[in-house]
Amino acid sequence: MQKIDRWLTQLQSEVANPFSSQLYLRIINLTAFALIAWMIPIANEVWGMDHFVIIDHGFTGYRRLAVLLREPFFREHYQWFLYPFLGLTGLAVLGFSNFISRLFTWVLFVNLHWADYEVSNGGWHVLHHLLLLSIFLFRVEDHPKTRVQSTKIVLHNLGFWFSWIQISILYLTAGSHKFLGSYWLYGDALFVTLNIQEFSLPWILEFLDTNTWYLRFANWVSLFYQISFPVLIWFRPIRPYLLSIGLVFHLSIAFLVGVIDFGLILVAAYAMFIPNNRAKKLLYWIDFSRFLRPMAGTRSIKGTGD
Amino acid sequence: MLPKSLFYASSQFLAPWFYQNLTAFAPEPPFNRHVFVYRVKDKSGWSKWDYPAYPYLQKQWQNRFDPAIKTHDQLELVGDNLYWTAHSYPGEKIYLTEKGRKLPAVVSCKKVMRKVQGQLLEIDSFQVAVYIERLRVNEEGVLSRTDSALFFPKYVWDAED
Repeated sequence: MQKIDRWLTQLQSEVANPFSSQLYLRIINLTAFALIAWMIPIANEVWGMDHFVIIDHGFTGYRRLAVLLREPFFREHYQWFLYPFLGLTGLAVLGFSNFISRLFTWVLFVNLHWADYEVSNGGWHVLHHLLLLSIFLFRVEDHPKTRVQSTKIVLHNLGFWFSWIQISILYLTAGSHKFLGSYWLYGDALFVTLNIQEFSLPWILEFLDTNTWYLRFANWVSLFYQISFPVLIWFRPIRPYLLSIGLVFHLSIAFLVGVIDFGLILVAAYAMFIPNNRAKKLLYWIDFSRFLRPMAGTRSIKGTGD
Repeated sequence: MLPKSLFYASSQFLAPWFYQNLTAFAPEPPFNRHVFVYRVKDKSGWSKWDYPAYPYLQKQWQNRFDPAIKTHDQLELVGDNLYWTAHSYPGEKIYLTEKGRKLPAVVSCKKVMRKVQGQLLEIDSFQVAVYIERLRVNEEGVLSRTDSALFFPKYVWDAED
């Protein structure tokens, strides 16, 4: 009982990993910004009227507000969603965001995502939910003096830890689904995937006609990684080794398998696991305002308070 | 994992704001490919079969950061849509008739043709098909590929479709 009491006190009075959460917030916004900007050359196909996918309009009421870009009128004006999104995420990368701006960012992202939902992949799904949870990553200081500050700390901590749980659920589901089929179990999944034009490269397609020991090994390592991640990620000493496997896994998906957006989103999501002290140093290096402060003759402000 | 009724009830509540398709994360490899191909007829006769997604795939092979892959994915989906239209109600009954050219899957094919070929003023008819590739691995770990095609009938080109 005492433990629960202590935990609840901590939940509302101490900000969990404040530097990690602020660095992660910037990186996840940078990823969202970069991926949406990446598709600007084909914006008319992705969000506008030149789409090739068959788009239906299956939602009514408040749900319709999430899928406005599936309606011809809004598709003709997709810039209303695109540029505010780029502006808000760009500002968040620089460290300027609050609850309202992050909420608005998420609403815009949901619309941009559903506009092209048919060709979306798991990366976009997880970004959808990480941006939702990031709404609650308030900048607050420990030992709150008011109930509002205390509530903000609770929401921050829940938002941050649920982001970890979100990634864990993702891997657990992905891993357990693989047990329903046979290709992953027999070690053939990677071999088959790399034999499909769109998930491979010409030089790989040329020599790959028989499964090999290293492809089977990589297949089972990725299966083991996904199944064990939800448990092992909570053990600090194991975490760097576990995440290193994950980085290799997701960078391979990005550059070998060619699902670049999926790979990069998952790599970016790993920013939430950067230890607090390291995140503090990184934040210091990317904080452009530190160059301005000495010039203005003002004192550097320490901490993460608003 | 959830009972069916609970799954549908929760999905209805969650979609689209909080919807999460967890099966999208690295499922079984897609061992059946449905590739959209087409040909058109003008004064000089029928053209060769064109595989419109291929140039976009080549671009991404050259540069993994090329957004052409997203166009490619849309074009791949056109092939899937054609395949499933011909194998499910009501498309399976319609696609063999002249009304087939008004099916959404065929209309999206015409959009692709317009993008690839420009205005298409000289065209009088067209035909779409799905090239089907099936990949299987035997017990020795050797890959086999079988291919076939699903042909849609030749339709009259109507610019207003």
